[in-house]
Amino acid sequence: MGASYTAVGWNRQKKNYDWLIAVFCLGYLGIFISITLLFNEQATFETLLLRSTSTLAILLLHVILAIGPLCRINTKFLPLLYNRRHLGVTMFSLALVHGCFGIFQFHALGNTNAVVSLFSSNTNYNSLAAFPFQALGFFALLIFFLMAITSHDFWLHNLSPKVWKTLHMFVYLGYLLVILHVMLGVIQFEKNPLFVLILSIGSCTLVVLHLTAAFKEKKLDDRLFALQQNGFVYVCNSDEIEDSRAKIFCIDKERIAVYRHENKLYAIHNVCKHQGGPLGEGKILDGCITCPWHGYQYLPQNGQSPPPFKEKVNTYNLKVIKNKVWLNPVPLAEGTERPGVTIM
Amino acid sequence: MIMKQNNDFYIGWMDKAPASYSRHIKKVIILLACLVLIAALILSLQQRKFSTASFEFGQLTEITGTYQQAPVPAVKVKTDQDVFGNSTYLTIPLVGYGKFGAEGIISSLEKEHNTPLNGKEVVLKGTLLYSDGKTLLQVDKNDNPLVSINKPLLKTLTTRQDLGFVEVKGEIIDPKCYFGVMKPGHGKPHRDCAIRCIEGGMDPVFYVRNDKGEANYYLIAGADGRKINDQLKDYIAEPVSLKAKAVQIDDWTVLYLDGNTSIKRLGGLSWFKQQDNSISCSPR
Amino acid sequence: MIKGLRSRHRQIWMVWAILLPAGILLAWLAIPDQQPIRLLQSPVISPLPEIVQSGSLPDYSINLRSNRTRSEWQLEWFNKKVLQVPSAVVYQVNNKNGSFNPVNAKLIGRIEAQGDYWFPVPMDSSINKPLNLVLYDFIHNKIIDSIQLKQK
Repeated sequence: MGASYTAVGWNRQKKNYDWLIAVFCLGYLGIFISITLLFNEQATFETLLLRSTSTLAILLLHVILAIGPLCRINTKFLPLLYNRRHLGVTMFSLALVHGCFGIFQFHALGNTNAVVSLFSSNTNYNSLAAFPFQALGFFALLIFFLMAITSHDFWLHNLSPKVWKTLHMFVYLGYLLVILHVMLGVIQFEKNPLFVLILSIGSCTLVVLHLTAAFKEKKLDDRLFALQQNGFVYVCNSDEIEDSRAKIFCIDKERIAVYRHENKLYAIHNVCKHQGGPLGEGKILDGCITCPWHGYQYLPQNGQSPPPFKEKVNTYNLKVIKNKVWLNPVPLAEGTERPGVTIM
Repeated sequence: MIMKQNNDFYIGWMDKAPASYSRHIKKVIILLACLVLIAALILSLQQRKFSTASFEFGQLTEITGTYQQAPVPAVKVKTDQDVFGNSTYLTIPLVGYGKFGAEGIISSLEKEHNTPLNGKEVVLKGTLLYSDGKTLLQVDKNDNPLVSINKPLLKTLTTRQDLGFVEVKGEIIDPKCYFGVMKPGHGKPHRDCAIRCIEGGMDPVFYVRNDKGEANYYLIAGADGRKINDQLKDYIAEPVSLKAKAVQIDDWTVLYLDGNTSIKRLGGLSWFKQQDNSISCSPR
Repeated sequence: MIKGLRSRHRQIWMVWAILLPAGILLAWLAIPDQQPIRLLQSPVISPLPEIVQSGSLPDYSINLRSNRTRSEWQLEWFNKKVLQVPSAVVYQVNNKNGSFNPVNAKLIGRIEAQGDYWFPVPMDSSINKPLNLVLYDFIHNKIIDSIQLKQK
């Protein structure tokens, strides 16, 4: 929640996270290269570089894409989500080494500009076996590049969250392009069914994780609230909400979090202004609703971030009648003061 | 539904994660470490065996032999006489620097020395590349490749044998990458580079294998001896069948193609693929 | 995450649930197989019936063959691995342990691609002693290997 621009807001968790990324990546590269050389002295530096960086990048991509749905299924994975962008930038850096070196290796020192050659050498777009797989890799790399250079919160604010998020949703297209790049490229030569099995397991795991999380969330979204009175909807009993915690309800278009704090109830929009985190899955710390994703905070009585921060979310009208909590799902303007409703 | 009592809450900017999160993440880290180790082992060990082709990078060798222009620019090195008093040629095709053929360099050497080189004994200096009984020489103008030119030979030892009109199945490759520079130097991952090399004037070679995996290599030329590199672009680095007139010229067989009507793609969808040895397999 | 984004994620992954396995499967099916052929070669010499001497090294197996009347001799050379030298010619030498000079040795033939070779060998008095062979790279002027065959 920096008030001014800093490249990376370092803290102990981020440092530990990055150390682990470095150790795992260097460990992987070391093992892959050593084993290949141990069994095959004829391996060349170029091929080792291309293969070690690409296989590690794909492994990282699978881990990165698994983090989101894992956190929806079990919040204990949240520490992996916190610094996920560093994983993403690392993956892009490896892919960039692979891509740039590949372009040089296969296209440079010829009679055509290397990048032009990438698109003009093989033009068999109508054949599966002969498909220009390098073009697929190029576009995947382009997507990851745009994501990496806009990974800082600076771009989130300046591009607007909607544009930023739309851009970053392209990671899924990037993933599909990478899988096809591998299958229509190196697998056409390596042919080892074990590689295909590994890739299939990876992609199936991601599909299962994402669809499991998706349908779990859909169940919450589809819940019907039948009891309505004068614009208010009965959502739950007041004793169902833990102190300093919330319950989330999806009514009409959006989710609303109802928090309990010092024997009062407050209702705010569930979506954090930072990166859309679920405020209702957070906790009240030092009097502030704290987002579980990156720790952004909001005051429960008005949905505003404590000064000097400027983020604001919508608040909602609540009433408690004989222990029953009634919520008006029409949002009030962002930052509207709404004193808590006392629980009898 | 009454929520369970749960005081643990994770925020990244706090110094330490709550105990339950810590315990869980430690297990995840161990799992990821195992995943990294297993992935590195499996992916490295299951790679296909690398070619043993050699490119003597940084090492120049002088080759003495007769320069021939057709069917491909090459130096023909005479062996000693065998037990029956016969000599044969080791034909060393020439390639240029980078992804180029040798014609450009030979042409500039001929202009520089004001003499055609075809049929003359020459000493050429270049970088050798070789594999599986075939040898090539990279000539680069920066290496001052033409050491000397001698007089033309009075008598050539070249033997020619017409093998008739044949249909062969194999893969069109660029010889420089296959026989030395790249690993792999053939197949789909290498396709774009092979196209670039052949379009740069490198003389294409046809790579065939028998059912024991033993390979042979044939030079490809146009029916009237001219280059047909431009016409091969869409057929490089994949299984094709060629219909051509085959002629054995010394230690190389040349396939004379009549344009791209002689080439047909092989393929189709299939479940089972022939496997090659992985790097951890012991050699035959 | 807002509701619209959740729906978008669900839609994408439902489509990916079809496209990913379909793409992987089709790409696998499309992998071309190298088709083995009968290689174009000059008529192969048939091996003579009897093995008189033999020897082997990790990369080669060698037999000296003859007919029953010992009027014809043949050196059979199995090149088991791909050559990693620019040239490889087989010389017969008199003495296994002496220094090698191609001028004083008898050139039998040249080995090229991985495969099997049969070289006719003229009969002379040295044929009754174990044959000493040297595999020589005349481009680099280096001995690749040497072997003494043993009587069968």
